[in-house]
Amino acid sequence: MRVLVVEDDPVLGQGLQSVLKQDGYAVDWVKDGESAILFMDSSEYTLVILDLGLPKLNGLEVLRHFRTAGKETPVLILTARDAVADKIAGLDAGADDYMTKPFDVDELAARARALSRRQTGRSTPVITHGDLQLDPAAHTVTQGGVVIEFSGREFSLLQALLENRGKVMSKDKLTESLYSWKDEIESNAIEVHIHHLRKKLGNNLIRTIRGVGYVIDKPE
Amino acid sequence: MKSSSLQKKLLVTLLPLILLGLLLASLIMYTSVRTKVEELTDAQLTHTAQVLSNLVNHEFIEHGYVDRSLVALDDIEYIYHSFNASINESMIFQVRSLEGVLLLRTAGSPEYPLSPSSSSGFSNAMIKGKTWKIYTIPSQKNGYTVQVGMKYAFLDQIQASIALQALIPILAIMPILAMAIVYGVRSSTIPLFHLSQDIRQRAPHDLSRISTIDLPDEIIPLISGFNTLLDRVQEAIEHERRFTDDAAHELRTPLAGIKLQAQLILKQQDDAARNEALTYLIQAVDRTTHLVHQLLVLARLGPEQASTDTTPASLRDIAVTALADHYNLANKKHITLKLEDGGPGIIRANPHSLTILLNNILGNALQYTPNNGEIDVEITESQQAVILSVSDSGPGIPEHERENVMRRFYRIPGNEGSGCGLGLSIVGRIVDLYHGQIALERSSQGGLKVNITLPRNQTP
Repeated sequence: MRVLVVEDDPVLGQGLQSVLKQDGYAVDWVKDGESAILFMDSSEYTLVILDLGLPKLNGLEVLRHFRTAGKETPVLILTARDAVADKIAGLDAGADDYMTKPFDVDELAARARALSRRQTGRSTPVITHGDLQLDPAAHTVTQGGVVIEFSGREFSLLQALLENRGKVMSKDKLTESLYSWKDEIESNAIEVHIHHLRKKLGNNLIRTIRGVGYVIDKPE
Repeated sequence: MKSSSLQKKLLVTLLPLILLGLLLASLIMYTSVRTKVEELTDAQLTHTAQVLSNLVNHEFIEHGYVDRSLVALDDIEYIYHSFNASINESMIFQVRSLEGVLLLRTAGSPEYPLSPSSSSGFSNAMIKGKTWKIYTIPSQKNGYTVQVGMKYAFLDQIQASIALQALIPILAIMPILAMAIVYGVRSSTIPLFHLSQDIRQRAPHDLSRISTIDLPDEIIPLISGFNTLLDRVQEAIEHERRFTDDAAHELRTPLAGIKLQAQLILKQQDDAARNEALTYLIQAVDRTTHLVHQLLVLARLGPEQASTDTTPASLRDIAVTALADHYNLANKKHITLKLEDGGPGIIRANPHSLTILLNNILGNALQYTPNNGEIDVEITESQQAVILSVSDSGPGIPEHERENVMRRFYRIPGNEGSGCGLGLSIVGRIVDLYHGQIALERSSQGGLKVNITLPRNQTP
């Protein structure tokens, strides 16, 4: 659940970072096109939020470069250009969604969720696993109808595991999806979060594959 | 000419002139035809007299007498018949002996001689209250005189009718010619009507060129001039449109930032986070205010603004004021502001524009010059121009970016300053208004040196 924000306006960039962090994303924020390409090439993102009017390399060029390289990460264009022709050009260049400035923060968050959901091959908003239900929009988890409280990172970790049910997630991969490159990470951070999740949800849900990582099994 | 209609003017000038010319020609023709006809009737009169003389002569030779009674009645009949019966009343003759005895006369002829003249040739006579033209052939050899007369009224009638007949084609052609002139004038001004109709029916935003196809050569320069104007208006509108477009887009981003931070404040429970968002919000409002201010400055920098007040102004005085205005900011960053000695730098320009120019250059210099740096202002003069140089000890502008920074809304990548990318555009616009030149180069302190050359006598 890691998002790359490409935006050259400092106030807007900072605001986007705060909003997305609140929603449990790990956020990297860059301010020009060249840095955007550098970051896109070096990390796996769930979503890229891309401004078009960027210094050094404009957003459309960044997007074309990205798609030419075969990357399939959803890209949401967030720009002041509101002409239909601009929207068409953006979507045709490989964007998955297009929003114009100024925008509503809740709409942006909803679109971000929708795009990340599609990215994980899911179309229903709520993830159900047995009697466990995770609602990314409401940021709630219920087990047998009882609401269970989680911290932001715990929630993101649980979501990442549930979205990849049946797949063993390495510690590195989980770290990458949970933390932005600026975050200071304790070496045992993932273990600590797993420990907390198990305390709240029971030990049977998340299995440890020794030396490889963690997995939530697919329901039979 | 009261009316300014080209068509009316042409018609009013052409029609009477041509008709007058035709009338004059007719008059000349009429008189010359009359003269010719008169010559012809004179010849006719002479000829008649000669024929008569020959006939009488013939009778005398045949009968050997010069006696009235010897002329047989049938001979006289014959002589009469040799004339056209229709002219009987208008033509008379007499034959007299040398002694003046009347030998022969037509019925309409009086007893007394037609003309007192007895010599050969024409003469005029009053007979029974009418004027007659008389031709006399005196004959010494045969001993008699022949006089033939023709009524002037009849002569006039013949002359007039023949002359008038000659005039008929000219008179007939007059209305046709008049119509042709009207048609010609109308049809040559029709393209003008079409043109004005086309222009009137244009959509207000249609600034495409007017076609000069089918237009008279005389109007093409006018339309070409008009087309050039249209092109310029189109260019200006396009420029304005791009500017508005750019400005709207540039405003959207900080507005989006403001809205986002405001929504964050609403959601924020934590005081520290809320305060942080508020700080960002205020920062965004400040930046937007600055952007709007700069946009207004740029929008108001039209040619009319530069020309409103072009009394001689001292660039040095304006620089002194601008430097004083920036003193506090410079002091905060421990930057040394210096104005080199020199002349007053008098130029004809709007002092307000010059203040905006200096404030923008100094503002930029102060923003990019690090603490403890220096900014140096120099005003030098030449015969034709005043040169303003502002050097700073900031990072400077790399050579490949020097052209870019003059563009609107351009910010050098990685530049985290609070500028909106309009400062140098504003400076460039003012320099353009006064037909000056701007050059960016490396200052001796390693920063940026802005050189502005303003001609002393420009006409904005």
